[in-house]
Amino acid sequence: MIRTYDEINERIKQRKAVVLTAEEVIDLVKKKGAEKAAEEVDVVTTGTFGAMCSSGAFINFGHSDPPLRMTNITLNGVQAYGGLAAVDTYIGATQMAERNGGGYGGGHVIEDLVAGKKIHLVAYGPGTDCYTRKSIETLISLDTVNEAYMYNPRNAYQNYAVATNSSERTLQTYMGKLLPNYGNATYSSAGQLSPLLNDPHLNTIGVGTRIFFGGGIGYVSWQGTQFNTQPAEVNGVPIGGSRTLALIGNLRGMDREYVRGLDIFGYGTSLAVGVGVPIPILSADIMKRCAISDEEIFSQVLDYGVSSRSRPVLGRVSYAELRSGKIECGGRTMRTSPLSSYRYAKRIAEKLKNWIENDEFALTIPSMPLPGEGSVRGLR
Amino acid sequence: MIDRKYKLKFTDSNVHDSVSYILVSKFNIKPNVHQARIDGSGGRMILSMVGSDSAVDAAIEYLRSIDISVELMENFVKRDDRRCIDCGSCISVCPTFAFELNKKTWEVMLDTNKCISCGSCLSACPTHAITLKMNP
Ligand code: SF4
Ligand code: SF4
Repeated sequence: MIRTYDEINERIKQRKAVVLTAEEVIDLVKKKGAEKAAEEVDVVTTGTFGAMCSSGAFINFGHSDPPLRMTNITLNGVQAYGGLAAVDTYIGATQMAERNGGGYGGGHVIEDLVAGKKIHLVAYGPGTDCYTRKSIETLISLDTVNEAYMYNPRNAYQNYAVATNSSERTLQTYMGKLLPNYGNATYSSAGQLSPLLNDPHLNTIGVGTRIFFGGGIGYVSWQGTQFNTQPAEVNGVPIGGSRTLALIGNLRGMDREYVRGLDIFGYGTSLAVGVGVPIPILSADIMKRCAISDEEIFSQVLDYGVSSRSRPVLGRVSYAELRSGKIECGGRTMRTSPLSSYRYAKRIAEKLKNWIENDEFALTIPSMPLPGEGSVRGLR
Repeated sequence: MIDRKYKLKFTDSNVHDSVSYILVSKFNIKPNVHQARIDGSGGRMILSMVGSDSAVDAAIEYLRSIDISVELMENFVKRDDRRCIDCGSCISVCPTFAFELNKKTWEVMLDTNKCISCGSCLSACPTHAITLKMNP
């Protein structure tokens, strides 16, 4: 070990910490080698900003007088979960508004909350001896509720497939609009800036790791759902969707800029969340892995024209090719669309870097590592 | 030299005229047809004309004289930059390459002059950032 978490935090306090983004570190390691670079750099910051469908927020509204046990709850017309204690709820990003027109869902409610807007709450309950009231209609906001925190069961996917479409009709998918006859290809990972591609075996990221989350501070709370270590690796990183993180963080302190409701046409609503994870450079090996570049990260091109759990693999392409705007695959040339914003990913990595440099963000030692192994089961 | 896009509307009386041929032979204009939806009863065409100012003016006057309606297509597509998150979903669905990823800033750039108002990007954008002026 070159340095400890405590030593890094001490340097952060003295405003002496050397922090680079996962993009900046690529050239440094090319020039000086991982050993030398590791001696110079304390922390590498990462970032990603894209649709993260498995996201949502817990809210406690506070009690009305007389009190109501809420069992049917809507926020701006979007249904929230009514199976928790009287005034607790969870609103999920993909829940869509019941009113006609569509285009608005749980992700947008969360964005509006973070933006400080008032939200229309309508709730009903059975009326009990202890909760006599049967309904309420009122306005809430981040200022009026007790707690409001995002808890996302699956974020920050370590790599993900590239989607294309062999069929004869346009498909509107969670991977965006896929034109017929291999008309285009879409991809969603931030590649060389993506948190889990820079610490592929989670040597430093674990339960309790403090992160940039939606413009505020959050923590890794658990392994994400569908956590998977099985996919094949090239250059030390998996070539398909693999590890994931469950994340938690206070909605208060988040910034609407990094929490955006999405309406993915033909699929439904979702939430784009900005996530940035700091990676402490504890060894030359960790440094080397942070220096991975888009040329070295690959993903598999899958045919979304075939409706099956295991879609046909058409080939393998690098993120450098994907980001160039077109890929060659199976003798075809396809134009590409990123889906997740590299511009925002970069901004997040830079913002986190600034926080650390200015002693506004200290690193935490994980209180438990995430699993070394995991696989995904299907549903029969 | 100017290069502009126009929307032409035909009726059953002039649908058989070969617009491209007339533009080339009579006005020395280079036409480029982006889209054509035409049958025996009329239709519409989106084309750009490349030529001198005076030639394009004269050509438009001529087309109007044979009852083809000619409308300059400008700023048909609009993007609300406060909504846009530079995700790039729109890039690969545009037939005229109007969107482009700036490789330095990673901003998604939109060249509204390239737009032929096909509507394809509308259903690709997850933030409702893009709007099209409605076709009259
Ligand atoms: S409407 Fe959109 S997709 Fe169609 S040409 Fe214009 S910018 Fe491109
Ligand atoms: S799809 Fe919409 S949000 Fe994404 S880059 Fe294009 S205009 Fe911006």
